[in-house]
Amino acid sequence: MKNASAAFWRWLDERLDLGSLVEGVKANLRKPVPAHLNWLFTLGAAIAALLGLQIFTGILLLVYYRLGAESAYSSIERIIEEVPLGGFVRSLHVWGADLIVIFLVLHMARVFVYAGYKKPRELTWIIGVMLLAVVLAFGFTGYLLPWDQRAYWGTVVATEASASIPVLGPIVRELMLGGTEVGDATLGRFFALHVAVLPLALLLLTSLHLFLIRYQGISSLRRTDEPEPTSCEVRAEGGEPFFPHHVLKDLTTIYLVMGVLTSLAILYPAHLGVPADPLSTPAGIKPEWYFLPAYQLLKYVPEAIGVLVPPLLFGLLFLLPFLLDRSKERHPRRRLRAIGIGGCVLALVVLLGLLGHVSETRRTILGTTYYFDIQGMPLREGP
Amino acid sequence: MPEADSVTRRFFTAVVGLGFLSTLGGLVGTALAYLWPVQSAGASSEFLSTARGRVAGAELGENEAVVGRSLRGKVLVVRKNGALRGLEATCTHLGCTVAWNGARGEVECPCHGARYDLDGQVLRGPARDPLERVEIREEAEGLRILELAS
Repeated sequence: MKNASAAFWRWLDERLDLGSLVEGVKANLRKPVPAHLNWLFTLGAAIAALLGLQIFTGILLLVYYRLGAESAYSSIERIIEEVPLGGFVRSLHVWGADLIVIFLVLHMARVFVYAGYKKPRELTWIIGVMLLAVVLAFGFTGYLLPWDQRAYWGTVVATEASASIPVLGPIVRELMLGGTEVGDATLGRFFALHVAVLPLALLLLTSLHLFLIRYQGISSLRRTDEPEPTSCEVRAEGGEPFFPHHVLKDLTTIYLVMGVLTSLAILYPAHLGVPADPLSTPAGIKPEWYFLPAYQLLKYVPEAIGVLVPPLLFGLLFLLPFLLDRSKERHPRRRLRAIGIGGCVLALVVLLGLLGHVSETRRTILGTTYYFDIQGMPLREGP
Repeated sequence: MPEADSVTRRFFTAVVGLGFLSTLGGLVGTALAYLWPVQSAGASSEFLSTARGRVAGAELGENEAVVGRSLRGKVLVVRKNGALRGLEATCTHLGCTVAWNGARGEVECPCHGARYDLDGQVLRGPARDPLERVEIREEAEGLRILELAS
C-alpha cells in the first residue's frame, strides 16, 4: 500500500512537478505566527468550518426541498417529520447561519481591535466586509424559503422598507419580488440567489480572503511605518509555527463550536410556523434577529432615512482603513480612542437590536409585568 | 485581418475591450429582461375571493370583516351599521395586511400598530398615508370591488 501510494506520488510528480509546490506550501505553513496570537485569532477558522457545514447541510436540504409557494412549506414539513434526521439537519443549517453571523461580528471586532485592516492588509479587510454582506444576503434569502408566516411577513416588511430608498427603491423592490408583492416569483429569485449566486460569491471571496491571509501573514503589532518583522524576529519574540501549533488551536475552537452547534440543534430544534397566508398578518412580526437593529431604527426615523443607514454603515466599514482610522499605530493600547468609538457603534447596534427584540412583547421582570411598546419602551402593567 | 506581429497592445485592448463590453451588455440586458416582473400575484376577477372561494355579502354579519383579493388587490370589507365598507388592505407603512378590530371599531395593522378609521384615515402612526377606499357592490355572484367614484 505504501509502495503503491509512493509510486502514484512519483507518477504525479513527474508530470506536475509537485515537489517544488509542496516544498513551498510546507515553508509557508512552517512560518511562525506573531506571539500575540491568542484564542480570538481562531474565530476565522471557526467561521470557515461553519460555512463548510452550511454547504453540506444545504445540499442535504436541497434533496427534499420543493420550490414553489404551494410546495415549499409542505416539503420542509416532510423534511422535519418524515426524513430520517431531517429535523436535525435543518436545525444545524438554521443554527449554523446564526452562529456564523455571531462569529463574523466577533471576528471583525477582533480584527478591529488588533488593527489587522491597516496597511498592507486593506484588501483582506474589504473582502471580509464583502463576505459579511454575502452572509447577511444568505440569511435574508434563506429566511423566506420555508414559506411560513414568519418567513413571509418578515420578508414583506424588509422588502417594503427597501422601496423607501429614494429613486431606485421601488424598481429594486419590484425586481427583487418579481411582482408587486411577495409570491411565487419572489421565492424563485431568493432560491436562485441562495443556492447558486451567493455560494459562488462566497467561495470566490473566501478563497481570496484566505489566500491573502496566508500570503501576507498575520499582522504584527508594530506601527505601519515600521518594517514588518521577519520570520526570525517573530520566532525570537516567541512566535510559534503556524503548523502544527496554531492549526491545533484552530481545530480546538472548530470542534468546540461544532459541539455548541450540535447541542443547540438537538436541544432547540428550528421552528416552523403555520403556512404563509398573504391575507392575514400575524401580530408581532419581526425579521431575523440580525436585521432587528435596522428594523427598529425604522420605527424612530422616517423610512427614507432609516433604509440608508445600513448601506452607510457598510460604506464606513469599507472606508475604515482609508478614511476613518489612518493612524499608524496597531497596538490596541495606543488606539484607545478608535476602539472606544468602534465599541460605541457596536453597542448602539446591539441596543437597537435588543429594543427590536423586546418591542411589542409583555415581559415579567422581578415580579413586575411590563409591556414594551412599539418603540421598545417599558410600560408598567402591574405586579 | 492584421498579421500576428502587427497586433499592437492598443489594437488588442480595443478589440477585446469592445468585445467584452458588448458581451457583458448583452448578458446584463438579457438577465434584466428575463428578471423583469411578468406576473402579478393578484386575482383576475372584480369579485372578492379568499382561499375558500368567492365571498358573498350574506356571510358578513354586523361588525364582521373579511380580507380577500380582487383585481384591486387585497381588500378589507367590513359590515358596519348594515352597510358594507371597503378599504385597500395593504398597510401604507410597510405592506402588512390590516385587520378589523371590531371591539375598537378601527382598522389595525398587526406589524407596527398603525390604526385607521373606516374612511381609511390614519388615526395612529407609524403609517402616514391613508388606506384607499373602494366601492363594494353586493351582487348575486358575490362582492364586486370597484374603484370609488370621485
